[in-house]
Amino acid sequence: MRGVASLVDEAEVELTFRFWAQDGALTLLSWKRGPGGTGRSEGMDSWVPGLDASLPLYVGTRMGEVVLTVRGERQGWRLNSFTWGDGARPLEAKTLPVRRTGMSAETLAQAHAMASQLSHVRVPEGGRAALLVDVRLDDDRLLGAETVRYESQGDSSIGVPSPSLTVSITQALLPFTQGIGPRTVRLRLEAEHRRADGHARWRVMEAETLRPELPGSPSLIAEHYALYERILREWREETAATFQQAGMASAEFLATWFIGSLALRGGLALFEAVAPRLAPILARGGSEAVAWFRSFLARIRPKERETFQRLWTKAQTQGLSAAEKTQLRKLLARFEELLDTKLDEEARKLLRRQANTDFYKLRPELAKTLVDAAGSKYPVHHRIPLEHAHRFPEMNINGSANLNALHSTVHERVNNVWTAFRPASSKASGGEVRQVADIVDRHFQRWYDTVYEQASETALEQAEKAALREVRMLLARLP
Amino acid sequence: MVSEMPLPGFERLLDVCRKHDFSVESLLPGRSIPGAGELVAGHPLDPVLAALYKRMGGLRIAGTDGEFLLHRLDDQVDGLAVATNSRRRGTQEPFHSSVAFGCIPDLAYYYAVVPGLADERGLQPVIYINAYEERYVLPVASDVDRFFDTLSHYLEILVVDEGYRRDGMRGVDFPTGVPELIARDRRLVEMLVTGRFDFIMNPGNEYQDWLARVTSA
Repeated sequence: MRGVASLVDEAEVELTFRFWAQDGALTLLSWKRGPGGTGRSEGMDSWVPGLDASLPLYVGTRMGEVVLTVRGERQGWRLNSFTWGDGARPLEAKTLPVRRTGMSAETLAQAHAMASQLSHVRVPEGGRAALLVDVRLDDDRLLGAETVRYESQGDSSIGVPSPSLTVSITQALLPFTQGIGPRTVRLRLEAEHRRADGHARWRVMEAETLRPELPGSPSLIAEHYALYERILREWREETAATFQQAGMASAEFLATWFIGSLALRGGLALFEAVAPRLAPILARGGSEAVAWFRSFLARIRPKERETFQRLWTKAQTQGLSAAEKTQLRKLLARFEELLDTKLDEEARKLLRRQANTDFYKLRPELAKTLVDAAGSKYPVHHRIPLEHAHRFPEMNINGSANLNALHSTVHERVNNVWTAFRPASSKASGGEVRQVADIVDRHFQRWYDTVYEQASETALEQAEKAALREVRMLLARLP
Repeated sequence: MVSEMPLPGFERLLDVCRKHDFSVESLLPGRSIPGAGELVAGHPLDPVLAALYKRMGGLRIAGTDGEFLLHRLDDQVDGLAVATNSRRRGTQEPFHSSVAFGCIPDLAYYYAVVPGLADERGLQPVIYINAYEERYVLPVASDVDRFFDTLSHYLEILVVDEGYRRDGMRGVDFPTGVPELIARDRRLVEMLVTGRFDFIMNPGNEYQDWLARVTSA
């Protein structure tokens, strides 16, 4: 606020600041300069007494929008009003207090460079000008700026430079760098040139954050931002060990983070060319893509999962060097190859562990009833077996639609049917695999997800025979 | 009172579990459980299992995930017969000639003894059975206590595995990821190379590959 106020050297000017406050973290949403100004005043260097120290006390741990106005008087700045507004939480607002505050040297340099680039505009001699500028930010990084509109009144053949514009823009922008994610800050500036002066006088009148339209459901977006903020904070402030302890290394977290950031922040361009089939699967976004990727991660060795998370997080928070981009592309190219590679024993076992956990977590009532006398829950069977998963690269093989709990007696019979199909499995198509899955469903589904009764053994025997007959007929038709 | 058979491998397994915070839940033993050599699931009961079931009626070991379930065997339930018979089909191997005494909890990966291959002391070797659609068998120990010893060494490898520590998705699995641990059991290796297990194995690639990995470890 002080930086913004330092741009004002006239008395009787009111500045309105809107912040989002949450758990002591303040994010600037906009500020606006009111009309007026009664000429230069010396007292404007004196900031509101005690405001910096008392603001955290006013705000406390309350959550909401804070509107604060300060007014320049001849003796200096005074706090005019402090009110709580009822706006909804904007996505860029921080919700976690951070230990490291202040700007990084890099941010300062970026702001300065961008402001210099904008400050070439000239004001007609003795005339007026108005400028609307959009600055793109991501987290604390300034990505670029463009002029949305420039209007002038007066003789534009002679332009007057305005060297102080760089400082004005820099000061106006800097407080907005304390936010999360991609957004635009729109600056409205006005200039006036008096013939007696050598330079034009520019004033930043208003600065506010514009939010991007994001794809996906609001709850997914909110979840992603929450994850992202945590990652950003841990990444900057903590060590790798605390990253791990905070549960930010789990496959579930990684999948949610990766798919969410891809949908909301982009990054597909980094690897689209090397992973042309993987990219569209991931770009579907939403909870289905998250679940798909979580299952896919079972195929990635721990070291590669770690490398992938490190590179992706760096890509999203800091940007990658050329060598790191190459490394990420190589990794994603390998992921692409895995799409139609047969699952190895390790991956199958991990997926079965995951499938069991997920199935009984979703159906807790079955976790109590589907337990055999030996003390084991019924094994979870994959409708499209893991052996054939590579023929269905787009399908989440561990998705709930592909999982059923079967008593081991039933499981054994179902496996027999798939064993009968095995000799043909290397040449069979995905469609034929689906046909076998349909045959199995038709004959065995009365035993899916239900307690097995010994009395149905004869029926089970018949179901197996009938299913085997159909599979043999299918095999006979194969070339 | 019957003198208890020493089970150093099993004791080591419990120690490792305590040291590395694997939960160990056991059931109370039954009063009248079968002794060594008495028929269970159609085969004579292994002496190590008989000694074990005198101490407990069942056992479950779990870390982030389930690691081992010893099937329940007490006065009410014969879990060995339940597990084995639910998979047994006539003379089809491997369940015809083996008795499943445990598994990876809630999964169809079993640990079973092969009574027909018992040594002169009656100790039965242990096989690992993948009962999912790929169906295969891997011999893992020359006797049940030796199996517990190997499993305990595996758990020590697991707790320092990068994937397991990171997100629970292990980079090393038992037994497929640790042929070098299995190969320390020289008696098992000898049985493997002399083809003692051939009758119970399906001749698939998994077995040939296993044979090569264990014997060369």
